[in-house]
Amino acid sequence: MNAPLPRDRASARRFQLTLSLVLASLVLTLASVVIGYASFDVIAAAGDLVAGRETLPALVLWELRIPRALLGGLIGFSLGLTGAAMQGFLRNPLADPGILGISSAAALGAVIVFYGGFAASLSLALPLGGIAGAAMAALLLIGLAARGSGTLGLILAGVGLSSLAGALTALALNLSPNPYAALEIVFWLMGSLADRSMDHVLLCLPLMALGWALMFSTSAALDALALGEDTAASLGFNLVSVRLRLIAGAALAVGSGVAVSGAIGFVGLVVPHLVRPLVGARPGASLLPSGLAGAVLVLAADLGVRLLATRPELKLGVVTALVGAPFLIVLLLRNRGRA
Amino acid sequence: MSLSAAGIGLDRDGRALLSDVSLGLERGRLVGLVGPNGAGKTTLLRVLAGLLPPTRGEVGLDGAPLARLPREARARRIAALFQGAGVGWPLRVREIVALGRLPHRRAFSGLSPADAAAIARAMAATGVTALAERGEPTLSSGERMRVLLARALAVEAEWLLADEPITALDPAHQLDAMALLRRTAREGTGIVAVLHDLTLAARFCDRIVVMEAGRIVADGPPDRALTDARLAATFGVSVRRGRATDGTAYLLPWDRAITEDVTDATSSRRTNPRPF
Repeated sequence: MNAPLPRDRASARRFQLTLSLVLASLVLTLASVVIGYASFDVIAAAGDLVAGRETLPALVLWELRIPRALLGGLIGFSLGLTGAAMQGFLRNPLADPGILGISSAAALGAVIVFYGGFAASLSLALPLGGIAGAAMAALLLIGLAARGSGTLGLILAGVGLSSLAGALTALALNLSPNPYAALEIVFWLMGSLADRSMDHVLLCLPLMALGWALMFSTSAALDALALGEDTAASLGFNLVSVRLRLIAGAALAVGSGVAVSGAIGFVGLVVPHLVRPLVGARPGASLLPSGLAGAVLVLAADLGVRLLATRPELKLGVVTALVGAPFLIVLLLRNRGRA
Repeated sequence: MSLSAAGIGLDRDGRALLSDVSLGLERGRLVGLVGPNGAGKTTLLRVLAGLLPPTRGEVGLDGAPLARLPREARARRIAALFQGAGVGWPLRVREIVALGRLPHRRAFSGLSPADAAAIARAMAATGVTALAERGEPTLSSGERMRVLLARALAVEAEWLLADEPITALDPAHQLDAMALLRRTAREGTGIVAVLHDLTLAARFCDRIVVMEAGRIVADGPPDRALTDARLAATFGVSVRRGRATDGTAYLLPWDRAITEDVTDATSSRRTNPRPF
């Protein structure tokens, strides 16, 4: 038996996929910088930018195009990675990045800032509110996990948190002083990358990077959890620590993402299903490719939003849901047929 | 080279799941842990594996408290097989068996040649080498059980604690699995297996520990632990005994036991089983 061969082939395929996803996300990031509503000479703008000349094209490039492209990649990576991590952690292919209630809490935090009228006075007030919401949800979940609450307890707490945050968001809409404010909140909740600045990137990048690192650190534990919690514990994994790292990681990555962009649905749910047939079912192996595929998907969807150029602009979250939902249905039907 | 439990007690919600359990185990022997449903066998196994801290008493490994051993070191020395959770993802058989090497791997590094060799040995021992590239959903429950056993063997630990390792197997594979456990024990591993099949337990195990209501009520070689009186009192069965042509003694649970002190409750249950 030449046992090692198939394993090498699998890891070679995984490497190839990872490499092509990296290339695809780089190309899409570049395309996202080049393609926009106003056509302008990107090369000249970049020249101005590098030379430090504060021309209008340089400003558009630095303040609009580049942040939008970077945020698309960062948020997509966070959603894909968190989706894969949550599915592995909960042993459930229908888990999504928001399953622990963190996305809803982040959205609620931002909505409260909207409602309080702080958004107008400070451009970062909105994302900071969202991050505060995510942080509160994460602290509650971490408190539960540290006291030894099991995975099922965390899911139930997440369902409770999501419902509560959703109810409070509805309350804010209900009581909003005028219809325009309500409309503004609803549009923000649909998710978009339009008109975000470099400040947004600098705000969420360090939080996301920390969140990614925490989730990647659970890679081997997620593999072991495929055999259940008892077996994973017998293989030397501290399940309390694993739960804490995953909650904190998801809160940092997705919480800061939702705080900046609003809710972008279905990416984190669908991407791991796309990746799994290509890299195998091992949860740890699907983390990096899922993150990259998430980045590709969000960047492509955001390009689509701009290329379709409807008035008013389609919201990114609407596009990902429109593409994602039918796709998920097909995927589930096909898997059911196979099983 | 010993794994021992001293005065173990475990309370859950004010109810004692384990009471005053003391047990000394040596490597190289196959110990069968038997008892009726709810007797605390799996709970004791989890305590011995260091996964469940007891309320009272202490588990010791080679004389030192198991609770103070670092998790990773413990995982390399005590392997545990729980089959209840199944396999959560459609992993390939080789990937499942490879999970047994996780306690031996450093972070973010792949399988070493030693890991690959251990995986190959475990798959060969359980007869699943031919299934290596199969996906988990395509396995029969017997094949799945053997793959999970291979996963536990791949740890190559000093101790193997197995919860109902033969329950889902057909008779031929049950015999194979028991022979494999005994052979693995002969090669130096200390094995404790929770078993429900008293015939196989009595035939293959070096020692039988009988549990009832969270306590150990008998402990010794099969012929001394599984006496007629013990089987009637703990399991409520009477057995037929015999000898195989090679002289090996065997027992077969045959009837519900008729004990002297049959109360109304038990006799009514015998004639009229409670539906639930």
